[in-house]
Amino acid sequence: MSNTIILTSSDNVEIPVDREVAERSILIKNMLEDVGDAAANEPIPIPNVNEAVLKKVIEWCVHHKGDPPAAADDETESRKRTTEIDEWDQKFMQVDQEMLFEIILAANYLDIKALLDVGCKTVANMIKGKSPEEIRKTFNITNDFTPEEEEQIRRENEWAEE
Amino acid sequence: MSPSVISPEIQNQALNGKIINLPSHMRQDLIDEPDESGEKPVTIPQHPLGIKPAGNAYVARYDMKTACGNFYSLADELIIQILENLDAKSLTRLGATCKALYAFSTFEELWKTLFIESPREQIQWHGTWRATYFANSLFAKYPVDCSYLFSDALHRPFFCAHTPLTPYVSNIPARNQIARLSNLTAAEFSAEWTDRPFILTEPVREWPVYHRWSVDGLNEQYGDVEFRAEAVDWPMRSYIEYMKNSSDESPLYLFDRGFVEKMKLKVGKEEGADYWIPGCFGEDLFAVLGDQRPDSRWLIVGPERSGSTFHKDPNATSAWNAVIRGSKYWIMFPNTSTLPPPPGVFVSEDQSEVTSPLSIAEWLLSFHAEARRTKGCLEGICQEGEVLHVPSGWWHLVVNLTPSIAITQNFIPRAHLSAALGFLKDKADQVSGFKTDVSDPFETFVQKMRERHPEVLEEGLQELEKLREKKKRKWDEVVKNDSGDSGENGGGFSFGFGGDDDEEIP
Repeated sequence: MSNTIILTSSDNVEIPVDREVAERSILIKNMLEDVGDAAANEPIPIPNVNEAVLKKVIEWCVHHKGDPPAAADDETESRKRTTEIDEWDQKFMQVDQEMLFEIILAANYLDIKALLDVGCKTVANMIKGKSPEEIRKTFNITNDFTPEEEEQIRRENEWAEE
Repeated sequence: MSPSVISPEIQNQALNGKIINLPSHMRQDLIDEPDESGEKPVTIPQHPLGIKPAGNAYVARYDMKTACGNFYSLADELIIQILENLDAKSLTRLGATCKALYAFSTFEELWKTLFIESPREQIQWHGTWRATYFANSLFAKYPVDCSYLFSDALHRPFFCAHTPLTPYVSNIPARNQIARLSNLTAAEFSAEWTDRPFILTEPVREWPVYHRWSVDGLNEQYGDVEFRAEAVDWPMRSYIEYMKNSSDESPLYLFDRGFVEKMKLKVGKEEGADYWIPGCFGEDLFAVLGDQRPDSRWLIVGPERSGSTFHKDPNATSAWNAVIRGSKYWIMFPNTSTLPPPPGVFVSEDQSEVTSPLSIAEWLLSFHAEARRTKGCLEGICQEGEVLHVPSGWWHLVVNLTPSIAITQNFIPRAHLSAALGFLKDKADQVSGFKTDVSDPFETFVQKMRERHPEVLEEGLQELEKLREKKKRKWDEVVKNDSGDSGENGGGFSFGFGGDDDEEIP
């Protein structure tokens, strides 16, 4: 049984990865189980993720290789609300916004829950503490409310801010 | 990731005109204004924000989500997942940025969680979780038109909350009908009925609470008393406000185990009793446990559509469920190790976890037709004043067809003693409802049984042993005949122990 497998990115770059690292992705783990060891030497196509993003995801998986698997009930709702992110992950997520959203999409596609969670928390932290106008600027959002709607929403927000 | 810029012109055009104009045969899947052509009426009302199912995007001129900028690239479920990390203030501010994000930011599931996480002294229901969170009915209205937002993630729960139940609970095939009887004696029950679901039409009508209780009556009499409804303890008054004016896909369900004490009820047939155990279910071997018995009786109150998704009753107990107001639809599958669990239900290898990620409505939409055709399926409607028997180990899903009040109790008839013993012994990790000071439920139960009913216990243990032997022989045969034609497993029935199927949701 080989300890290194090869992933092929959407732009056709072959990236060798430690099997244990790659298996942080439940998608890849299940795939390897399904095809059996004989076929595990074949490159595995990852058609939704390009080289730059895939390398970034692998970097995260390497760092988190030894993490204990998350318990099923780890994600209690009360835990979720805390958006604390460990220091290494914070640094890891200091990328441009396009890359950040690509990482979220890749983590979702590859089924890497912990990475998806960190990605979502990072975006949530970019929303927190900002005014609506600042949020629009940050994410390139277009204000498409009618004047009447805007007035109603202003009233809602006034109440919510109290 | 380049968000398209919307010219106000296109936008206004889109907002003013009606966009969906499809040939009638395609219209059924689209949720829109009532059909004016006089065809089969569309029964699902319009979403309060005007949100439509994702499929409508293909024929729309404009997609409101494009205004979301960088969020446009994310699947709706991912946007919701990001929003799960926001507090109320941030969520509200995000909702003030554009129409689509307003729709996401007002998603009720998010506010339900926020509300439950922020305990408060006074609970008054304001029609939606969001309005209740802010304690202001203003928030129950949605002053934004999102007609051009096409999202299954946001629309589906609304669709499920409004999908009519009638098609699923009517036209029950004769072979699936749960038996309906007027009454049974204890002897008749233990001789023939301990393994079969049935409905009795007589005994509950004799209960004083049957003649006395109503939803408004409970409100008057117990308005300030707190009852447990899933994750929250609410005064009855607040729960009834919720019950009368909410539209959750899976309504919060009042399920309280301390009701007899809280309501100061007198149980039993003596003078002044409020209700009593129907005669045929009188024998309950768990009664030997006295104060140490696991939770065994519940008051159940819920609006139309509330109910329980597929589960088995805890600790291999049987149960009766008496409807005092309202009516309940039941769909049930037998206890057997040779059949898979009901369609749409997945059980972990050790049986300890049941995965049925679907709401009741979603299960009805996706699996009911298949379930109805599946061998062993039983269905029935337990009407006001009737009581239904759930035998040990049977899978069941229950949904209220109208606002309902019921009392349920779990018990162990003699016929299922071996199943309960097997469960307590072999599935210690799945045993539930015992108080924490009972460290070894199996030993405790055996000891109490030995004191009170030694012969019954002896029989139960012997039967358990016999069944184990049989199981072991069967296992040996299967292992031996591994390659051969083991054929159909003719056993058919098995008790729920030793690797069989039981789990712990009441």
